[in-house]
Amino acid sequence: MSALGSKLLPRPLEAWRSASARTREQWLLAAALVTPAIIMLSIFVFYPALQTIGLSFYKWDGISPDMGGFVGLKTFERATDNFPFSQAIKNSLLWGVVGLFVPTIIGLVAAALVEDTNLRPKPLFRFAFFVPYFFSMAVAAALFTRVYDPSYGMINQVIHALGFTDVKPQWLGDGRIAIYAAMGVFVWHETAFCYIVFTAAIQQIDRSLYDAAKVDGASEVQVFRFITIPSVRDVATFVMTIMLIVGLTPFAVVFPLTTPGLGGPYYATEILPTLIFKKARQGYNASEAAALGVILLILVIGIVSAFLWFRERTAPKD
Amino acid sequence: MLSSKLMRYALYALVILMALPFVFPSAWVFMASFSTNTQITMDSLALPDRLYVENYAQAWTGAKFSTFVYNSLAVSGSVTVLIGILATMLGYAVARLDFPGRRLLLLLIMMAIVTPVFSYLEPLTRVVRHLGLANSRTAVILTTTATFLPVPTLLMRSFFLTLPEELGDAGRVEGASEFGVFRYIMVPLARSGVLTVLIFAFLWSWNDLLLPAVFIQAPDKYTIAYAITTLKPAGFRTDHVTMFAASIISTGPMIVVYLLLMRRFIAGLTVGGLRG
Repeated sequence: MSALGSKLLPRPLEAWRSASARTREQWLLAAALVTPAIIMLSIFVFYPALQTIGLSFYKWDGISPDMGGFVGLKTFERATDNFPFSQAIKNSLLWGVVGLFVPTIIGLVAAALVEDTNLRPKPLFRFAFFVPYFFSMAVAAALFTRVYDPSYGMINQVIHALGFTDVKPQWLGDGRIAIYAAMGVFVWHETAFCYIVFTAAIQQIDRSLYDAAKVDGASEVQVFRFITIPSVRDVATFVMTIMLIVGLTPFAVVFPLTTPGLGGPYYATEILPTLIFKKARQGYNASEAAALGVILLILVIGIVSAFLWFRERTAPKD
Repeated sequence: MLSSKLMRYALYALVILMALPFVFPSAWVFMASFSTNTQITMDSLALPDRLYVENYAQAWTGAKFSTFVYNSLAVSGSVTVLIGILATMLGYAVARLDFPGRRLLLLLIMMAIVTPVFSYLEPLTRVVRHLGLANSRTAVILTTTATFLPVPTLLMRSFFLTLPEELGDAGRVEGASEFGVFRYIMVPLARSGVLTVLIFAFLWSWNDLLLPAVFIQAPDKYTIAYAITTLKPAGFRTDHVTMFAASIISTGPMIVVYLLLMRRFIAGLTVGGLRG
């Protein structure tokens, strides 16, 4: 009652007048600043996103003038009860786990090894770990079609030069290893991003912490474990969140690596985005694309929120 | 003494070993971009007998990469300008203005960030068709701007939040309008944030594959990243060197950023990410 009362009580007249003029002015400015962006977002994000959710409960091809009937979860059944989908889910989840840990850990360890030791010359090593990021993910993947080539490709040529003349893996042609080859490109490229962000974070750590640890006789590993890692915790959460999102939707890797035959060989590299892309491009499977879209949305939001919740819960209290 | 020296060697060996997988493929591509197709098919690890600079000319004119670079510059340039303006406006509004629905708007922006484009890809293609934008660079520009906008908006919001509110109040006491406070006090102070957003937007759209692949069919409208992915070994077409040269050309903007602005860019990125 008292809270409500204080809201309803009239403030001094002068203040009220000027405040309301200010408020009105702020509202006007806000409207002017917000409107263009809201229009863009509504047309190209919110409207299609809402449509996805609606469409997934209907049976519609995307072309016919009238929308098919409401079918409840039938569309989901049709979209999920097949081999490509189970491959896509399996690969997406595995890729999410790889994204969460592999590029982040390599990036952090490499950044600590370069920044926290007397390694020289540092700019050279920083450049070395960052080099893959000069290419975009898509271009990197396109290049790796050549790096992975069974005959002239770099990797098999190196294997050959090392003396293993009869070992010639079909990196992208063999269904058992194609998905790991694809993840390899992802790790190759994204480690550079993790590395450079961790490098910036480590450079900002207070040097006196390190000196104090040295005086106390801490080993290099202990310094890394008890100073570096806790100091970059927030940055690590940021980097891992990004890797999780990118890892759950690595279309830019799979598309260049496996086109033509997207998601192949025989669905070995299928992920949810490639399934959706194929259905969207066909243009006659709107509701199935929508159902897959909803599943992807739930997957990404669910996993990212769970991760952030976990990081929040395990955060050190100070 | 000996052990510390040994440790040093071990450290160098370890770091070089770790860096090798990252450096070697890049170096291989760089070397091969000056080689010949015959050389690559015979022994791709060998150095070329001379520098075949003409590969770059072939990529630039023969394989039409001058057109693709132009397309990419047009798309990325437009996206950068649009995002720079929209993210600054929206970011300021949600950071510093009091208006009804602000929390809801912020929530919507957050939700847009975690919503992958793929989840609404099919309806989006129909929106683009209905607007008559199918197979156009404009479609790529508008969809890239809208789908990417939430991230730079949060980045700008965190930059505006770091600016002391007293500066705005000082302006108000001096008789500045709310717009004046925004345009002549806050925006100039947020310059480094705007710069981060501009770099980020440019690199993002330069590197993006999905939206060009979805919306562009005519090869003369391809962006560079998309064009390179179409230059893959198809059938007996084995023009590797052109593709390698084109890939090196595509690194242009990133090289500029690395040489001039990297530190600033990463610092801006982490500040924004943490406060998001």
